[in-house]
Parts: sequence; C-alpha cells; structure tokens
Amino acid sequence: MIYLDNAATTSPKPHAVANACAEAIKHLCANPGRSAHATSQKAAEAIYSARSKAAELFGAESPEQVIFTQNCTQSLNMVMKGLLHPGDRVVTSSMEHNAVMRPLTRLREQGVNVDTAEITVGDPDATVRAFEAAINPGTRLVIVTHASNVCGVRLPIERIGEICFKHGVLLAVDCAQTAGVLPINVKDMHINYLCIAPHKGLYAPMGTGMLIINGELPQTIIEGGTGTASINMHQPDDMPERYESGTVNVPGICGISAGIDFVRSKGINHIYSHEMALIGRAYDGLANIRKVRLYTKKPDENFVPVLSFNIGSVNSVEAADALAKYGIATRAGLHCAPTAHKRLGTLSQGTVRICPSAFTSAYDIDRFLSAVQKISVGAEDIFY
Amino acid sequence: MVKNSIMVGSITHAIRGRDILRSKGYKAFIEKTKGRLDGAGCGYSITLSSDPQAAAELLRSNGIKVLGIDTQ
Repeated sequence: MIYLDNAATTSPKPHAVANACAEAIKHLCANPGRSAHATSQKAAEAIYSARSKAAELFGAESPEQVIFTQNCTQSLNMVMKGLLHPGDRVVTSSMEHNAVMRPLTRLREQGVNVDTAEITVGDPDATVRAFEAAINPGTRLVIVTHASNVCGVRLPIERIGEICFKHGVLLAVDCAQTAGVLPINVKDMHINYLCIAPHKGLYAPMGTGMLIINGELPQTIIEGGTGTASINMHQPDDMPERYESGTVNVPGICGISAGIDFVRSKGINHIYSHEMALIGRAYDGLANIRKVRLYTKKPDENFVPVLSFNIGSVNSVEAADALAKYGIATRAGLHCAPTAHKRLGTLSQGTVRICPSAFTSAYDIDRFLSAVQKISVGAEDIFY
Repeated sequence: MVKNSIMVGSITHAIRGRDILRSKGYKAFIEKTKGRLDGAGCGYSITLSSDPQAAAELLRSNGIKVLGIDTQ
C-alpha cells in the first residue's frame, strides 16, 4: 500500500518508535510519579525525558510546561474551556478543524462571543490584516490553526503572534499539521498555548497529544489524582501534574520521545523540503490530468505538504475508494473541517486529500498519479 | 553518613531538581517523601549529604517549589 494519509496520522512509524513503545510495555509498566519502587522511578524518568525533549523542540523554558494529553483535540478543549467565560471574546479563523469549531460552538451557546478572521489563501498579508481587524478590546484569546488540514495553507503565526502580543491577547495554536514539519518556538512566536498531535509529524503512536503552556494557566476541565498534594481536595497548581490527572500513557509517551529523536535526526527543514518536493510533484502531475480539480495554486513556502483535489464532479469518497483499489491510501470527505470546505467551495463534494511523510518517495507519488490517471479515464462511464 | 532531604511537590520537580543539583556537583538522589502525610500529602524528596540550605536555594532560584527540608 502507498500511504498518503499522513495528515490523519503518519504511517509507517519509525522502528525506533515501535521499539520504544514495546520496551515500555515490557519494562516500564508502573505508575510514574506515584510510587517509590524502581520501575515507577524508571517510568518517571522516561516521561521526564520525553517532556524535556518536547520542551527543547518547541522552545519552552522548562519541561514542566509540557502537558501530555490524549490527543490534540483534548489539548484544544483544555485551552478553550479553561480560559473562556461568558462575555469573553475569542477570534478564530475561517478554516478551522472541528476540534476548534465544536468547542467554540458550545462556548458560544454559553455566552462566549466568537469572531472569525478570514484566511485569504495565497495572501498572508490579507490574512494578517483580517486578524488585526477581528481583535477588539474585549478579545481574550485568538485560537487558530497553524496550517489547514484540508488545503495546506499555512498561517503567518509569527505575525499573528506579534499582533496578539501587542494587544495583550492570548494566542493558542493548533499545530496538528505542522509539529515536526515546521520549526515552532513558543517564545519567539508569542504562542501561549501550543496544541500538538504527536502521532502525526512527530511519528508517535495514535492516542497521544501534547499541550505546551507558555502563559496564564487555564482552569482545569478534568480533576483527579496527580500523585501530588494528596491531602488537598483542590486540584494542585503545580505544572504539569495539574493537567495530568490519572495514569499517563507511558508507552505512548515513550513513543513521542523516540519520535522526537527521529525528527531531530532527520532535521525538520529536511523533512519539510522532502515533503514539499513530493507535494509539488503531485500537484504538477495532477494539474496535467484532465478533469482533475485543484483548489490552490502550486504549494510554495506559504503551505505545508497537504493537498486536496477532486476528479471532475465525482464524489470524493468514491474517488478515494477507487484509489484504494489501486493500493493508494488517501482521505476523502470533509476532513472534520466543514468551514474550510465551505471556504474552498467543496462542501457538497468534499475533496480527496493527500499528504506525504518522511517515508514517502517520488516513486510513491508517481504510482499515485498513475492511479488517478487511470481512474480519471477508465471510470469515465461510471462517473460521468 | 548525613542524609538531608529537600521535599518537593512532584516527581517532575524532583527529577529536574536532581538534575540541576547534579549539574552543580551535588550527589543528589530521589526518593518518595517519608514521614507524616497529613501535611502536604504525597510527594518526592531530593536527598543529598551536603548542605541542604544552599541546595534548596538553588532549586528555588530555578523555579522549583521547596516544601520543606529535613536534616538528619
């Protein structure tokens, strides 16, 4: 199988990640931060090591700022629901994932005011102006994706961060599509909350997430045992335990640790260049196939390696099914991001999405293009 | 041998504190905090044989909350 569904989760995972998870299952089955025995202590050291690596990778001042969660969606929920109260204003973009939009919809029903800044694909200046215009004196938080999971357009987070800093507004960034693909530094970019999907660009196992807190502490949305201050019935303030009630995912976190090692050994800039070259090759090939519809210009430095397309007016799910018969794994539909599809005009058809990884080759892209070509021509009678 | 304990709130602070102290030449180790639990509750301590006051000050200056010092 040629796997081009890496925007959902990367596959395959590096051997080192699989080995780290397996080793944790074999040798680290104990509750870190709870007990005094050697296995608990070893597990705690492994977790701390992962925390330290993540802090270094994303420019956090200390490992305590790194919170391990179940996924990026949980991290985003922790930020929004922990910070926003009725009467607050929040600004978001026109191309967010439902991991942002659904919590915001619920918060809106509870009295939070949600303002939207329009993303102009291919014009970062216009996008920045939209954010500047959307922020007003009542704005408490800007929560925005670093890059669209539908079309790959990249938001100028550095510039949005400067605007937020200038206005004293908190900034939360959903970097589900960018961690491990683009350099991110929470301090330099004025990011207060970085929500991470390690199972994507960091090649960690599914069911892992991270939140880096670089500013005001949100209220907790989950309370419970932390192994600390147990006499106190109130949730402790100390990071990171404040946000990690219950037993953490030790094998998964060991996988994050190995995934970060993998990404650092390859180099983030190298991974980005490799994947962008492949997405450019895919774009050029698709642009030469009659009936293929593309929705952006050829991806350049204002994009991440995520690309959407359609074959004529064929339903995107049918097109992806046809690709699957050629052994090509893609993702079709609305990608949990209807607002982005509305913006692109693809709400009824959806799109077929591809995304390479560090393991994808030019040969894989050529096989994919060959399959699209065959489907486009050979299935004409069925589709048209 | 003298064993001094610096109590901290969590395993995360204990590991970071131990590493800070070791980087400054202390022979520091981690253990679960012993003794009465009706004060702060569960926690961890960094043990060392040398001056705990100076070590505790070093930890505080690095943002680690010191809950207590036990000198034996």
